Amino acid sequence: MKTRLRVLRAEKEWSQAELAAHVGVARGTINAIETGKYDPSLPLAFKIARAFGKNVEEVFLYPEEQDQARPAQV
Amino acid sequence: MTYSKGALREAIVPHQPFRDELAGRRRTTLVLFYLAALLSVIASSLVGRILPFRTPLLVLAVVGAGAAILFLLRFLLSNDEHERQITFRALTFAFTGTLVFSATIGFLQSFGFHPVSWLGIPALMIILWSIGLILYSWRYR
Repeated sequence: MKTRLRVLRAEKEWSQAELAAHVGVARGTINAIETGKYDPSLPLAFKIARAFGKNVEEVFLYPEEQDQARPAQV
Repeated sequence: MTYSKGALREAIVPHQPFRDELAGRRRTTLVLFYLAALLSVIASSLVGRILPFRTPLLVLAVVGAGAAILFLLRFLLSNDEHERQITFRALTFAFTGTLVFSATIGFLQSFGFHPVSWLGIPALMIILWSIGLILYSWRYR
């Protein structure tokens, strides 16, 4: 999953630690989300989006190619 | 009813304690866990060797083990979702490693390999869990 977290943080001039404090997680967790090593749970994704005053879709981008590459099996 | 944009943002982003302070507390809890576990293992290993102090050593071993469990639970409860995932993987690593080690030692004992103390099992689990924590923290950093 791609994320615009770094851009949004830069706009707000927030450090990773400040964002982590806002959403109640460790700084390392924010870093792992930004570098794409960890996909947050839905509640955490909402918390992060709300911290920026945005919708989840404006912060996290789900690449459509992933669905096309792996069609659902019936 | 209408809210100003600032008021709405204030309402949806409540102030929460700064987690980096909590990270320090988590580290302290982990160090206390290691110290309590070490104390318990040392006391248990000395019980059979220093007979006059058998009872105090046994008490020390049990108290140390209890304290280690409490500190471990406190550490696990303070984890966020990402840290919980790392801890879970580290536990899986430790469980599998201990299982393989125990099976190997059991197999080798049938060929005359000298017996290993039962104290080695919890110590090995803690060591493998620590290695797992370091490995997975580094991998998902």
